[in-house]
Amino acid sequence: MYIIIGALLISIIPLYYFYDPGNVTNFPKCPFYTITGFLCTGCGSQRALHDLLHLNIIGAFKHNMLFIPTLILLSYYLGLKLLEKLNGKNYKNYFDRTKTPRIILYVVLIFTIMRNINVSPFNVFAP
Amino acid sequence: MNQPQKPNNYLVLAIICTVCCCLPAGIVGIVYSSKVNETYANGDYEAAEKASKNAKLWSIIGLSTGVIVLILYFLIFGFAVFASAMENGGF
Repeated sequence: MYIIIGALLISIIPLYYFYDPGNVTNFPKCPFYTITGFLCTGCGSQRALHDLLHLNIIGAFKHNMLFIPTLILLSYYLGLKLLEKLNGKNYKNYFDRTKTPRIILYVVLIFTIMRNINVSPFNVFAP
Repeated sequence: MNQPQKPNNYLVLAIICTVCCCLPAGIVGIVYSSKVNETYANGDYEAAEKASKNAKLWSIIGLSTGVIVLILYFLIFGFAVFASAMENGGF
């Protein structure tokens, strides 16, 4: 399962390196945004990925503030799973704490609502 | 006290789903993930199992919807995408 996802992700990286989703007109857009007109949590992450591949960290932050933290979370989880497989131990995993999913849920909801408010202080969150 | 093993909460899958494609299904997945952890912490293991199944189901629904939409998109607009990419690509 994870191997399939990983292979897919690695295979699309060159595509995002060479093409800027912000400039190419017919690049696949977020279906949620296309249908509802509201920005979703992940809107801007394609542009953020393009920026990140070009080592433009500030640009990635501007397009989607949660993109880099998400990558860090995912690599933490995958790294932990790898270590467990290699050493045959069970490590304490922050994802298994009682409060973790709830905190992530609140962060996602608040971030998504804020980036849809088109007034000055909240504009920071929009892609 | 003999505890069954904690069921998988599929939080990572739900996060991937939320960021990549399908916001509503991803959110539902995260909600069920938190249910897994909370019910397990309270000792209600059956509810935790149920929530785990639901979390998996919703995340997979979201991801597969996203993949299907992408495939459809490329079937319809695929040619246009590559044409415009050739014009603006960084080669």
